[in-house]
Amino acid sequence: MNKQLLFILPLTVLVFSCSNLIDGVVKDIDLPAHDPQIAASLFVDSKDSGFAAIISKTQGIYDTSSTGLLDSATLKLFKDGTLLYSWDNMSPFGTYDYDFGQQIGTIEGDIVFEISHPDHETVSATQRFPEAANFEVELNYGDAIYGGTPSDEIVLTLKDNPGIDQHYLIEMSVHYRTPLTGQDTSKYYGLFPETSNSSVSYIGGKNPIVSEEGIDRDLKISFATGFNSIDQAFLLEYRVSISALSDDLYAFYKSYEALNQSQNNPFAEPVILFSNMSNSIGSFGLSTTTRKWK
Amino acid sequence: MKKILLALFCFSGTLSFAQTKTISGYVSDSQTGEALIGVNLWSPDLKLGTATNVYGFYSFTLPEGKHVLRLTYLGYANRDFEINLIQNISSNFELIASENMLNEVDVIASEGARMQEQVQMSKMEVPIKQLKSLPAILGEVDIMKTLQLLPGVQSGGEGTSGLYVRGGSPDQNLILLDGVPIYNVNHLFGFFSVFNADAISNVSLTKGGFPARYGGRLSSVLEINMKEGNLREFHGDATASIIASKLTLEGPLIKDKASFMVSGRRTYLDILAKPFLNNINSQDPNFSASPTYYFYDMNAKVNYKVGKNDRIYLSHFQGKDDFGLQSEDSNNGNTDKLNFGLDWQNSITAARWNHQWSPKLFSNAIATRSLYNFNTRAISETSFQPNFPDTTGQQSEKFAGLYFSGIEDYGGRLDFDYAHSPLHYVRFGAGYTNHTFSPGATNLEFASSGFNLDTLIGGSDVYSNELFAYAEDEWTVNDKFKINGGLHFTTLFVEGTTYASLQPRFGMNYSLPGDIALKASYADMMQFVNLLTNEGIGLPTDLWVPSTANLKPQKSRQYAAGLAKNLKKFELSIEGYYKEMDNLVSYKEGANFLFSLDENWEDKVTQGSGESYGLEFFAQKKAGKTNGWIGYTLSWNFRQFDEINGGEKFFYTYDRRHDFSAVLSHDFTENIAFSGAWVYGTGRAITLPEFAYITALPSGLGWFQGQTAYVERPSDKNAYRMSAYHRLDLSLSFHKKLKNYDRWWIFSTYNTYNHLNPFFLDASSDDQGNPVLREYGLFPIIPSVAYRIKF
Repeated sequence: MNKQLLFILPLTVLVFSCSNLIDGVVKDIDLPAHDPQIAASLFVDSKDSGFAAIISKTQGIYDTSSTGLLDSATLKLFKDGTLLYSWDNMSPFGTYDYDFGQQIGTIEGDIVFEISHPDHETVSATQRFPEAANFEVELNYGDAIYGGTPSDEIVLTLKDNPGIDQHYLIEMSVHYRTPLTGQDTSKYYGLFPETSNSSVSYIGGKNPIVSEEGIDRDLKISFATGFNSIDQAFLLEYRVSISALSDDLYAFYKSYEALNQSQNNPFAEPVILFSNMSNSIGSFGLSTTTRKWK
Repeated sequence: MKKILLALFCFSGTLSFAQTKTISGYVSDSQTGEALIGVNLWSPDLKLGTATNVYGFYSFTLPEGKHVLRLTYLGYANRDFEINLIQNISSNFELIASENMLNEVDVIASEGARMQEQVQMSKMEVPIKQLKSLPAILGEVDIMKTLQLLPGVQSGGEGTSGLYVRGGSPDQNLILLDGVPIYNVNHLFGFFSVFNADAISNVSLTKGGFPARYGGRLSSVLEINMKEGNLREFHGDATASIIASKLTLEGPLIKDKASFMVSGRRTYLDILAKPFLNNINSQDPNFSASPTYYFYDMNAKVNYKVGKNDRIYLSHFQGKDDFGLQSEDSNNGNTDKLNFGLDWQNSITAARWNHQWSPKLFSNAIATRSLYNFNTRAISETSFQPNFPDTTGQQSEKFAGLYFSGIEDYGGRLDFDYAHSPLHYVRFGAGYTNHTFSPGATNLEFASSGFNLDTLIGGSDVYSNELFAYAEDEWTVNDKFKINGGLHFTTLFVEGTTYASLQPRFGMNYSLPGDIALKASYADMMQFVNLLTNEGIGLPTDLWVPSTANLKPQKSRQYAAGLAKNLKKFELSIEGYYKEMDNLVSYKEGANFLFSLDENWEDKVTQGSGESYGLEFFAQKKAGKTNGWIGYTLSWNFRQFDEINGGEKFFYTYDRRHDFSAVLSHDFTENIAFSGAWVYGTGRAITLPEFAYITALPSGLGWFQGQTAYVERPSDKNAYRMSAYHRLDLSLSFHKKLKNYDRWWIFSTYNTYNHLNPFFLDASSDDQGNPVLREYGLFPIIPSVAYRIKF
C-alpha cells in the first residue's frame, strides 16, 4: 500500500498543478487607490524679475485618470510672518506667474512659500536667500586643453564664508564678434566648461556644481572654457555667473541628477526626488547669483 | 595579550583536581580512517566532556585513576572505553558508522552531540547524509539551499544561493572551505552553489554567540570541510542528473598514512544543445546564433600523516561559470557580429600543518590563497560596403567593452588548542591576510575608418592588510554552569589609514531544573570587506570592495538568549536575538555599477545603520528511520541611511516577518527512502513607483524659466511586499546493492504543487488595457531524475 501511495500522490499533485505553466504570471498586484495631493515647486533667483511656480496634482502611477497642472490655487510668500506677495493666476503656459518688471534681489529673513487650494490641504516650505558668492576670476588665454585642443583657462577662487556650508552653481558664457564679418553678436553664448577638479560635478550635463560638503575652506578651481581667444581674436568678454544655492536647492539639484541618471536603468536604486514641502512633494529653493565679466 | 591569557588561566583556581593526567589523540571512522569532527568524549562519572576539533584531534585532561570514556557521534555507534590514567596517554579511537551495523542501528546509534550541554549557541549542523537525502532542484543537492531551511537563515529569493542570517546581508557571512574564505558561492546566477556535496564531509553554521576565534564578518560563519579521502580502500561515487554529472574518487596513497580525494562536476547543457543549435542555424544561411553556458567545479585534497604528531593537508578548489552569446548576421555584403558574455571564477588553495606539541597542546598552521574574479564582455563588429562612390573595399567598425573586477587574498593563520585542565579548554591564535581588490575597471575599444580608441576607465587596485589575534577559554565552572569568554583583536591597514578593534565575546550555559539549558551570548564583530550589490537579482557583477580611508568598517553587536533541551531523540531550542549594525554600505539612490563609468565607486555608496531582532524556534531529529526538523523564525529587520529614503528608517528588503520550514526524511525500507521539505516566508519588501507629478526646474536644469519635468515618485523605501513564498519539494530514492557497486535512482520534484513564487515585478496591462503591476514567477514544477553509483 505504501509503495502505491508513493507513486499515486506525486502523480496526482503533478496533474492538478499545471495551471499556470505558460506565462509565469503569479498575480496582479492591487495597489491602494492614490489620494491626489498638491505638488508645488518654485525656484527663485535674485536675478529673476518674477516668479514662475508650477502647481500640479499627483496621480497614481496605475490610475487611469489624467494628471496635470492644478488650476485655482492661491500662492503666497511671507517674510518673517508678513505677507509679501499673493497671486493666483495661471498663465496659458501652466505657470503661476508674478512679474516685478525688475530684478527681485535678495530678501533678508525666513521666506515662507504657501499654496492653498479648495480641494487640497494647504502646503508650505521655508527658505532663506543664501549669501552671495565671494569669488575672484583669473583668465589665462590658451592655457588649458579642451577636447585635445588649446582653450582659454578660467581660474575661480571661491572665498570661504566661515561656518556656512556653501554650494555653488557655475555658469560661463562668452560674448564675441564673428571671425568672418567682425560683427558683434550682442549675445552671450553658454559654454560647457571642463575641469579635472574632483570636487566638481555636473548638473544636467552642462553646468558645474560644487559644494564645500561641510568643510570650511576656500575653493580654487581651474576650468577650460572650450573657447580659444588666441585663434579667435574677436573675444569681447567672458561672463561668469555663480549662484549660491540654499541647502535645499543644492539637495534638489543633486537628487534630480541622480533621478536623471537612473532613468530607464533597471539596475539603479529608486530615487525619491528631494522635497522640502510640508507634504514631502515638490520643492521651494532660493539662490543668489553674482556675475563677473572678464 | 599575556595578561588576558594569565587572567583566563587564573580562573582555574576556583575548581581544581589534585592530580590530573591527559589522554589525547584522534578519532576516526573505522572503515575509511578519515578524521571525525565534533565527536563527543564524555566522562559520565565526572560529568565532564570535550569534543574533537576540525582535524579529529582531542585532548581530555582528567583526574588520575580509572574512568569510563564514552564516545558519541551522530550516525555512529556509541562506544565506551575503560581507561586507567596513571600517566599521560596517547590513544586513537575508531567509531563504526551505524549504516554498517545492519539491524543494530536503532539500538545503539548515537543522537550525536547534545545541544543542551554545549556552551556554544546559535550553531547549526546538518549531517551530510541527511543533507544529501533532501530533494534538490534539477537533481543537484545543494548545501546552501539546505541551510536556507534553517531558522534565522533566509534565502534572497527564488533560486538564489545567498544566505541572509539574522538580518545580515550575504557579504556578512564568512564562508570557509577548508579554512579559506570563498567570495562567490554562486553557480548559474545563484541557482546552485559551488559546493559539491559529494566532496564535503562536514558543514556547520554559526549565526551568533561567536567565540573569539571567529572574526571578520558580522552575521555568520559557515565552515565547510572537504573529505580527506579514504585511508584504506579505493572508492568512487558518480551521479548523472539532468543538467550535470559528477564523479568523486578517493583512496589511499599509502595505506593508513596518506590519502587523496578528487571530485569534479560539470554541466552539459552547452554540449546537449549544440546539435539543436546547428540544426536551427542551418535553416537560415545568413544568420547564426550560439548561446552557451556551462559551469564546472573541482575539489581535490591530499593528506599525509608525517608521524605520530604531525599531519599535512593540501586542498584546492576551482570553479568557473561561463555564459556567452555569439551571433552573426550577413546581408547584402554586410556582416554584423555580436559577442556578449560574462564569466566568473573562484579558486582557493590551502596548505595546513597539524602538530601535537604535547598531550595538551595542539596547533594548526595554515597558508591560504583565495581568488575571485569576473569578466564581462560586449563586442560588436560590423563589416560593410560603403555607399560612397569614391570609396572602395570593405569597411569595418568594432566596438568592444570589457568590464572586470576581482579580489585576491593571501593569508596565514596559526591556531592553538590548549586543554589546560578538566575545567578549562583554551584556544588562542593569530592571523594575517593581504587583500588586493580590483573594484571594477572598464576597457573600451572603438575602431572605425582609421580612428582607434583604446582606453581603460577605473581599475585602480586597492591593497589592504588585515591582522588578528584572539584568545578564549571554555570554562566549566561547575556541573551546571559553563562559560566561554574571550577577546578578538583585529586591525586593518589601508590607504594610510589604520582601523583597530578589540571585540569582547561571551557565551554561557546554565543548567536549569528539568535538564533545560539556559544559554546567553554577546558578540562584538567588525568586518573590512563589503559587497556592493543592487537589491534584486544576485548578479556575479556585484563588487567586492574594501574598507578605505573614506569607507569605515562595518560593525555589529549581537545579544542572544535561549533555552535548549534534548529529549530522547529530539533537540529543541528557542532563541531570541537583537543585533545592531553600523557602517553598513549601500548604493546611493540612483547609483549602480553600470552606466556611470566616470565615477569612482566610493562616490556611489553611502553608509548607514541596521537593526534586527527576532525569535527562532527549532526542533530537530537527527537520527533514526524518520528524521528532519521544523524551524520557525519571527523577525524584524531595519536599515537607516541618511542619504536614502530621506533619512527615514525602512524595512530591509529581506525583512521577513514569518519564516517557516518543515523537513522530513523517512526510510520506508532499506532500499526506498523518501524526503520532503516545505517552506513558507513572508514576501520580500520592495519599492514601487507610486505616483507622478509635474515639477518646475531651476535655472541650472532648464533652458528657460518655467521649464517643467514629469517626475515619477517611488514609494517610501521597501514600503510594499511581494506575495508570500511557499514551496514543497519531494524526493524518492531507490537503492539496489549489486555485485560490484551500489546504485540509486533518485526522483525529485521542485515546487511540487507548482506555486509560482514571485521573482520580479513589471508594469503590464490587464484585459481592458488598464495599466497594472504584475508579479512574475520563475520556476514552475520541475521534476528531475538522477542516477548514482557508488563503488
